[in-house]
Amino acid sequence: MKRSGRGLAIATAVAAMAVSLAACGGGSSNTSADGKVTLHVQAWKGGGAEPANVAEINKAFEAAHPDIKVDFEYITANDTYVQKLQPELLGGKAGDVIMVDTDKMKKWGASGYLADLSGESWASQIAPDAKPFAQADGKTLAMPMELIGIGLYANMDLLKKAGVTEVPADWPTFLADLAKVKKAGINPVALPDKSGWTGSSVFQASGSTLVYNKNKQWDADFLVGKTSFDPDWKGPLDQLKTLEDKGYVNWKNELGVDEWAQGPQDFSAGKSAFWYQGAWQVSNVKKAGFPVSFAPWPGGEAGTKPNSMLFAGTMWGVNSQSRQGDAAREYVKFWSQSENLAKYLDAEHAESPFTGGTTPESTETTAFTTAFKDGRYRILPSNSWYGSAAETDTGSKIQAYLLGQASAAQTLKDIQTAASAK
Amino acid sequence: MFHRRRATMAAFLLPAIVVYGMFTLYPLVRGVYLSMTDSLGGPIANFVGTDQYRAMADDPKVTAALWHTVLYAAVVVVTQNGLGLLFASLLFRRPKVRKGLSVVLLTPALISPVMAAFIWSYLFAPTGGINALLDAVGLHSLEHVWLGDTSTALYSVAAVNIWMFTGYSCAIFLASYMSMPTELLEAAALDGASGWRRFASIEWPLLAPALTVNVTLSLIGSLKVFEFPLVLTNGGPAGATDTLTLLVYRNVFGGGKFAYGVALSVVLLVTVVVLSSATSSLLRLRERRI
Repeated sequence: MKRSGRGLAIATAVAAMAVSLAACGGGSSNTSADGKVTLHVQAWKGGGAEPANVAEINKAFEAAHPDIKVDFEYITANDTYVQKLQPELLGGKAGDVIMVDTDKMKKWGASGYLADLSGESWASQIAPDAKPFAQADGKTLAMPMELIGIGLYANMDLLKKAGVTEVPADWPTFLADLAKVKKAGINPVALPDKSGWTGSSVFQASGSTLVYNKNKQWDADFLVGKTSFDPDWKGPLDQLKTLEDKGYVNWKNELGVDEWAQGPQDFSAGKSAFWYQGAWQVSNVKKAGFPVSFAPWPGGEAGTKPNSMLFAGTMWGVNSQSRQGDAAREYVKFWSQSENLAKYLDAEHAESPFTGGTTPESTETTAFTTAFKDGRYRILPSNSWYGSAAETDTGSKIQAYLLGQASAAQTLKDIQTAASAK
Repeated sequence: MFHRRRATMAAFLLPAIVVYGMFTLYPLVRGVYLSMTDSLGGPIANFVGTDQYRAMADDPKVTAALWHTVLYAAVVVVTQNGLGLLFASLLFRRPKVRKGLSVVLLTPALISPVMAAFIWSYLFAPTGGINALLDAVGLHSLEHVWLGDTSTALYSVAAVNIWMFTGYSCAIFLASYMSMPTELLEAAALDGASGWRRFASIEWPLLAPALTVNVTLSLIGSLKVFEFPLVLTNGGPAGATDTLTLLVYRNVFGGGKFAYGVALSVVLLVTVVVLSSATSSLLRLRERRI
């Protein structure tokens, strides 16, 4: 009797473990008794400092789909997001719909984590310029949500104090404006570069005008070995150095300031006339209360108009292991519709990635969107040579150049190596 | 009887062995295997032999990171233990303030390393607390961009590590001081030995086991350093504070080179094991000679 009691206890324990292990397996979504589907959505937008109207769009989706409940999970961007999602994807525990960018789409797509969305109705509506950023091996693996600008912010109040009434459009005017601002006792420009992002990004933004005005096919040519960074990109590198030579920037100082935390705080506090960042910060900076302008980096020669630089930003991917594939696709489709996506684009101050999509306008970003509408733009080639590893390496090499530790020729050679790495 | 006792002992050890095998040995073996694949972090992984290790040998970033890691460890081990010994020695001679100051010294170690790094990143900023303090006391010439200059960035990061864990080293040395035979110290004092003479001839030899523990622990901790360079500099400026752990992290989570990152972590593991074992063995040998 005693023996059988012990056996029963062991059997119960084993059964309990088996049940709990079984509960751990499979996807993360479930269907309740009333047939209502819960859709787990994971993203790095929609919370924290960037609510981006995601909650409103999710509410509208639930209203339009009473049988689906959205379980939205906000995760901090960049490394934290990857740290959480990578093991969850490996363990089959990630959300049904996950936010990706081109870099993540390519990596997770190659590992088989993303469902093929090529057959979705919206896939054929993606603007030709945006299409390559959502595709891998000819398959559409994600729905692009935006083309978002990266450029120059101007505090119009401070510019006015220095006698400047318009944001500069070319390099000589920019230098002249910086001189006026400095003379007025205002810190001319903040380019915080602790993680190397700003240096790398300004280099790209300057090249978007200087390099691409001469050769719009530069990326394609680079990939087949027809062009190289030296000498094509010497101009953008020189511009970075000129800012210090003329006393508008102290790079050593800027290398000690964080781009993502301290940079936005300092500009919003009115500490500099110009600042460089992405359009995703416009909504936050507006809260500071001064008139702000967001414009393309004024890198061109006197009298020329600058090209804006855009980044194929956030996208929705569907987890290939999702047990709620249909609901997940429905969610992505809802987001692709102009009236819904416009709310997100409005908060992001971004351009629509769809042909005929609605791009919201705002006074702050007029200079930028005008350039986009005029066809004066370049999209960062994050679908070809400009992956995250190349971006990090480029940032680091530019830091060395700005500190005087490497010549321009050596820096361009190092960037060429980073961009060519597979 | 003897066999039954051994069986009982084995039965008691079995759960620990199973847990150790599952959570330590298996991941280690699996990690070494993964480092010999082309895994991107997903389910697809093809065996590529020693390709990742050969790629590492040609990667200047690995050489630089290895050098930074070793230099960082050397600075931290020497300074942290030197200061820990100094504070322990002072506290031993000042019994009235010993308790209070011990707590003060240990306090930084109670803060989360990430939080400490965030606080110090503001202090090290060009217009941050340290430069403001130097400015306030008239030492303008000493103001510096601590994290933006390649010549000071690694040492600045090391300084945060030292600030945080000097209290630990001090506590271990102090415990060793407290266990010293008082008759020996009193006899030396009666014989007229000076403070330095007493330290060099009596205290320092008796502190040998504490030194072994301190050096080994701080060496392992500083070779594995991650949070401080990540938060304070993210490996910059110009790669001046890139350490092996940062390269592992960047390759696994940022660059998508999962297998390469795992191979780097194997190299890190070997570096930690070899250096800490060699140091520990040498110090234990020294203990026996004393």
